[in-house]
Amino acid sequence: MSAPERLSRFPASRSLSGGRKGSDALSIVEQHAALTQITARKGRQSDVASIVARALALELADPGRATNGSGRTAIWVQPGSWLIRAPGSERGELSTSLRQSLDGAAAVVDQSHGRNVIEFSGKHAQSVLARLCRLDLHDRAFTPGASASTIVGHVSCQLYRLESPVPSFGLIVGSTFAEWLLDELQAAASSHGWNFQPVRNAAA
Amino acid sequence: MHLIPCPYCGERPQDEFHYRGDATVKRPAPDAGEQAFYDYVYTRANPRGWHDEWWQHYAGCRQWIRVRRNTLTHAVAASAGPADALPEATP
Repeated sequence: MSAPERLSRFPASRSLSGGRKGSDALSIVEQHAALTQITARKGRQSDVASIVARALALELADPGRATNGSGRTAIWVQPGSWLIRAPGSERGELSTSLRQSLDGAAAVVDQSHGRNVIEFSGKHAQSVLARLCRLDLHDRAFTPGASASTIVGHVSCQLYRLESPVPSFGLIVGSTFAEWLLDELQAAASSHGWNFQPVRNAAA
Repeated sequence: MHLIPCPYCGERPQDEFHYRGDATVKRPAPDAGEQAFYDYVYTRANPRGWHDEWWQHYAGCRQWIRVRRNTLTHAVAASAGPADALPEATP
């Protein structure tokens, strides 16, 4: 019998909850995602945008934004550089196919194992995140689709607001910082309570 | 909280940035002599008032930017990308 494939970054293999008991608990969900960073070579930005639009049916985001298309998200990270998030089933294949279709117009780096994606949502998500992060996260300032590389809980993090009726945020963090960030989120959310759902590990 | 306007990200807290030195020094010509290179590497003015500086937005877009900052009041008058010049006139 082979060992089950570990997909979760976290030691917990089941859902956890903590903090105050109540109906306003925040939800912290680990996501199994494929991540690939593409950085355009000098002067090739418009080529990269048209190639990605053709290959993935995905418009590359403007500075400070994230765009969705065909189940994937393009997140602006720095001038000429985007992080593409796709479902975990596309791990490996996403960066291979992007590298092929971009054909030297951009540097393509697979970050699926280097970064972790955590989604944080709930009625009080903005005020709880404000305990960890210095950006203005008000509905008017940080609208759905807004994105920022910033510091959350003392670690560098890509933070973006998801399209959702309840305030929801995606946090992409270096994977060795993921447990730290989870601890920080849980501590910050304990005044309202939290539920944590790790990625389910595949059965052996 | 001191805000620095990043030309790429907008206003961001100062703790996302590292100070990277004086943006007014120019590398001398290769044959300029030892003294010119000594000054280029080591000699710095310590102005009281407006100063053009390099800052790196290390926790954001990772870019080096030019910032015109008042060393007395910490007011920031302008910022620009590394290849762009700051406005001529200081307020």
